[in-house]
Amino acid sequence: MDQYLSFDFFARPRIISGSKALEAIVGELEHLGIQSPLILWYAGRSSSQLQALKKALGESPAAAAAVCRMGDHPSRSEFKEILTLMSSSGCDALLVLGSGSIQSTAKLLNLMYSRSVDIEQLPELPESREPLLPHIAILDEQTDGREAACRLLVDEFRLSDPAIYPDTIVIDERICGSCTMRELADSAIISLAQICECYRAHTSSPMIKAWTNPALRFLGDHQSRSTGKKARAAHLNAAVYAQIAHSTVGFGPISTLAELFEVSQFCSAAELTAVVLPYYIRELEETRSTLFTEVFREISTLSSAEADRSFRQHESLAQALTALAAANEERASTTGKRPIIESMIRQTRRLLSADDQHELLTLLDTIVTHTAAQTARGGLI
Amino acid sequence: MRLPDYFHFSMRVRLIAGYEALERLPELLSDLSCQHPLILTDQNVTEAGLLELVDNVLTRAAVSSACTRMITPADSQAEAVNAAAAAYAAADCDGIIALGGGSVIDMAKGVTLLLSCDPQISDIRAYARHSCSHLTTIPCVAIPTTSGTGSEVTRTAEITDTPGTQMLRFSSETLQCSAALIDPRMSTTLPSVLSASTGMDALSHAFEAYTGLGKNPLSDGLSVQAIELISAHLEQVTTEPADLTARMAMAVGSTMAGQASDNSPPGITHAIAHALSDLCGVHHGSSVSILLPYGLEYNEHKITGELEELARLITGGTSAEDAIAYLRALNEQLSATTEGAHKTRLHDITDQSGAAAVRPEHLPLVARRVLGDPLQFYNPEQFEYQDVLNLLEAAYWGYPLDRTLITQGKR
Repeated sequence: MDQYLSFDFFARPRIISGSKALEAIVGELEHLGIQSPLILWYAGRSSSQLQALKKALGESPAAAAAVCRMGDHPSRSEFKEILTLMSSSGCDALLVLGSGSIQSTAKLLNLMYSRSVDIEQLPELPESREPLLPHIAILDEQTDGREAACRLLVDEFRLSDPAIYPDTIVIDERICGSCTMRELADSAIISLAQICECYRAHTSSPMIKAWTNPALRFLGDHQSRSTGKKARAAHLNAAVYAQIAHSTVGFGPISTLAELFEVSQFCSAAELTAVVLPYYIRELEETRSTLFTEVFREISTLSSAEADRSFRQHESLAQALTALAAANEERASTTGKRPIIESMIRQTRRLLSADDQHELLTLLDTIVTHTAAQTARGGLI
Repeated sequence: MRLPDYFHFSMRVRLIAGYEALERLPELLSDLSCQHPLILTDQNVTEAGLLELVDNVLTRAAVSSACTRMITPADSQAEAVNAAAAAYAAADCDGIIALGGGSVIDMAKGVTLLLSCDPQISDIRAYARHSCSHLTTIPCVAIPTTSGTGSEVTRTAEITDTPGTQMLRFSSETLQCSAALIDPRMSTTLPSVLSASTGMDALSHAFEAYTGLGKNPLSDGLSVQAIELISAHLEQVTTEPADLTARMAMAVGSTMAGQASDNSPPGITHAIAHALSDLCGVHHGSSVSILLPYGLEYNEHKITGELEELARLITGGTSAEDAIAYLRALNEQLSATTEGAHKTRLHDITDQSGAAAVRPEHLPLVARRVLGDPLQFYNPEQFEYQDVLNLLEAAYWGYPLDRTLITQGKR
């Protein structure tokens, strides 16, 4: 109880969610004193997203904002072009449309622009407490676990800094609906891993539970009926709550592994998470049964005993996880990347060992054992 | 869990909670680039030795000599806010430490508002019911010494125009503190009766946030955690004031309830409490304690599901009536542990001279005032004069609300 009630929590983003949340952006821009935002948009997404945003901006000054179409992994010259555009347009805020890498890229652009850093100077960034430009993130449901967090990952450049939290997160049902079920599942599995790490963390607290419990509810309620826009918006809400809570507790073993894999580009963070998460959850069951029960009570909205029984019968979440892991195994058996996971786990163990995180090491041992056993049966990744 | 058609949620106050959270004050000031803070507090806090605790921490960090101190009136007054703002400017301060209950923190917010907006305006009254959209530029660290108002995390402030007159109510993003330090040592000297009433105030924030029209998934998450913490520890802090674990739980619970309430505003309970405060001078926590079960009864037909969920959470019961009965029983228990000082009906509340603060002839005036309170927009059921009057009469005499007399619920 003593440790549970001690925490340091900060959630900077204001969250605006709803069927017409885009319309609130005009007021948000006024509130933040923004005159000349730059709209960053990932060109790979449906153009209807941009149209919906433009329509919602109506006749406000922001409707005349320059739009910068970006690719998935902008080159150095593209970075320079956008920075030049920000400067020449008198940009005083970033309005960033879409989830995934574009939000990380926007955070990095904001840092570089506000602190006058050239792309060639990275990864060095000067220490500064000066605020960045306001960043309004308009998300779709294909999340990577970082959009609402104070983290960014652009190629191999990683950063965690409270200064890069977006100021506002906008979740609008009209922006949701364009991603595939597979992409939605990837997003959900990352959220679920973040929530489980939050529960497991030494720094878990009532505040963390206040954010993760609604996220779990949404994931549980909508896992099997995610076709409607409302359900997808609920998924996205869950992802945002999980990211903000997870930002506060820090990386656990799954997210550490997942990010290492993502950087290596051997597989996506979601694929790795889908492999490892079932073992992590079983570990939760073995070591912290109270928490475990609570997790599933929240997911299934059943009483504790019923939820526990439900899980043991491999219904709901467990079934989904098993299916994901099996699908992954099947896909992975042909890729021949088996040694990579062992190498990455070893690397992660070294990282964790340096910080003397005994509990995490113990957990990783379990994951390694399980993963090795799986690998021996036909390969995972 | 239902996803509302629209909601927005904001919680930008950094929270540092812990048994020695106060020790992190110098670090926090440094993070906020604050080297010369103005410490605002009141006489009661000073006499309780809490200013000394803060001073000791600052002295060890070699910050103390750079501080300006100001002892304010126990109730937040507009003139005192103006004076504090002038003192801040004269001493060239670069941040505020608000050490106290809701009144002191509200005053600090008033100073922040006054100094963040138009430099030509030197009277806080100019901003009453008038929005100031500037973002906070003055670092403000709140160190709450009661566990009730949640003011350390809210975007609202209540400041008295002149003593004995109507409260001025302010609402602005500018009013949100930069950070709050939640340390249980700050509330161990709080008298039992105030622990009870402020704790019930916090519980009312969580209940009304969970059942109000502005509810959203995150305000629900905060409310549930707050209700669990407060219901498990409120009685304990009235019988064992020095129990640090219970104090910590109450401090965290009330802060979370404040955040819930800030994002899902309260309804009829607080609307009536405002009117009772303005017209009869009744302490906010005292009136809210009494009114909470009545407010929930008034809305019961609209919030049955929510009350059933809360009943399961705190009583193991299954009905809306169980949740309401729990609150009445809690009030009775708190009355017993405070030897009757915690009141359970409006009739028993007295003013400083010992005379009845609320008299039967006040009730129609209070009911009329309630109809003008903006909180009615967040209440599940509409406000109707006769209905509010029926509620007030029931709360005055201490009998359960006869819901057959409530007209709105029948429509």
